[in-house]
Amino acid sequence: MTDALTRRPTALSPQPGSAGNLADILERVLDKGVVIAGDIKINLLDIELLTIKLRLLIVSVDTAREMGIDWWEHDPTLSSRAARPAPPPDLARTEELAAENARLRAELHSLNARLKEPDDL
Amino acid sequence: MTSEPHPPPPAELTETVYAYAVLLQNEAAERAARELRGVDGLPVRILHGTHTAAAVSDVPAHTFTEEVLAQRLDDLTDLERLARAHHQVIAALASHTALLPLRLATVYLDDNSLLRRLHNDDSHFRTTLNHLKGHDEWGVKIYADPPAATPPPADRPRSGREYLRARRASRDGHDLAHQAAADLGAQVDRTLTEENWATDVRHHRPQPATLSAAPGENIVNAAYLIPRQHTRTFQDRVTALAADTAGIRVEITGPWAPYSFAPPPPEQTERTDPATVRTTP
Repeated sequence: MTDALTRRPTALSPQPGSAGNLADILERVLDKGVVIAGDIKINLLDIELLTIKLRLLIVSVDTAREMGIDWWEHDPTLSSRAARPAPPPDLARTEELAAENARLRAELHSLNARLKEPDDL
Repeated sequence: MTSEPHPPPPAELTETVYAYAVLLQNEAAERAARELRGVDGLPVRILHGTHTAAAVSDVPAHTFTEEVLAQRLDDLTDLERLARAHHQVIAALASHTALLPLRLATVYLDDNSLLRRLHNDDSHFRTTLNHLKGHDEWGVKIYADPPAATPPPADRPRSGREYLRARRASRDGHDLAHQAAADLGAQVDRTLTEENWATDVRHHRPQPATLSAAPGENIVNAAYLIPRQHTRTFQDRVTALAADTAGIRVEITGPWAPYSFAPPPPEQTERTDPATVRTTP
């Protein structure tokens, strides 16, 4: 490791819990905290599923943008701004190439044939 | 406010009790609670048990039924509102007294039901609260943040060999940063516990990048129980250790109420046990 790397600044300003980011808060209020059963039953399985879902989802599009997450803008099924699919193949051009291919094959064949002729003499 | 008559209360319950925390009662917490607004902007009050108390809000019963709660927790906007309100009540009270945060959406049918819970687990709550007294929880998150490989010249196609070399360098940097983050985590643990700056430590699952606003990959997500008089030293130690490590980024969060250090009662008592019911005046 170089010295320059070691000197990389580390952002270490403590953030007050009350203004903590939502992920930190949800992690604590949903996953942690002493569990004494309430009378209104919350299905713990639901909470589990919920946290899993939260781990996959982003709370809102704006939050996501702030975080620099914008994958949907590159997904063609989700955004008109995403890269267009490749244009349909040009049929005329394809036929032209196929014809050229066939012609070259024929030429090669006849050349091969001619090369063999002297031996037959 | 108009003086229009409220709809007549249905025969069944109109209000239920939403609980935020179990706490050691004191004047300051009592005063603070009077100023607070909890879930759905509702007032907060302290419900006194024999030795411990609970911070609660009276909530309209129909907004906290099982079905409605399931929906509310499933709606991310509502969930965020609830979570922040729940958390803010806990955070405000935690600066005045020792408390045990309850999980989001712990709802009781009435005061007596909650008082029974306090009574049944009284010794557990008192022991834990006394253990937590004078402490804060602090979070330490360590991210692998490998230095970006030398940016490839964008205008010029690279040879295969150059490409592979860059790939390998980037992968090595990535591995090194991962290892550095994990090592630093272990070192922070050792330093804080061996030198007695931390009373306890918990390791949480690393946060996925999609949920954390920070760049880099979260490798260590630890919570420390720190005696309040050691707050400064704790921060200084972590900062110093972090400064010596390359390829990582450290984030300290807190002070938190001791969410990570609030163990559930040893065994959940049955839902209703009339034999143990003892109402408090």
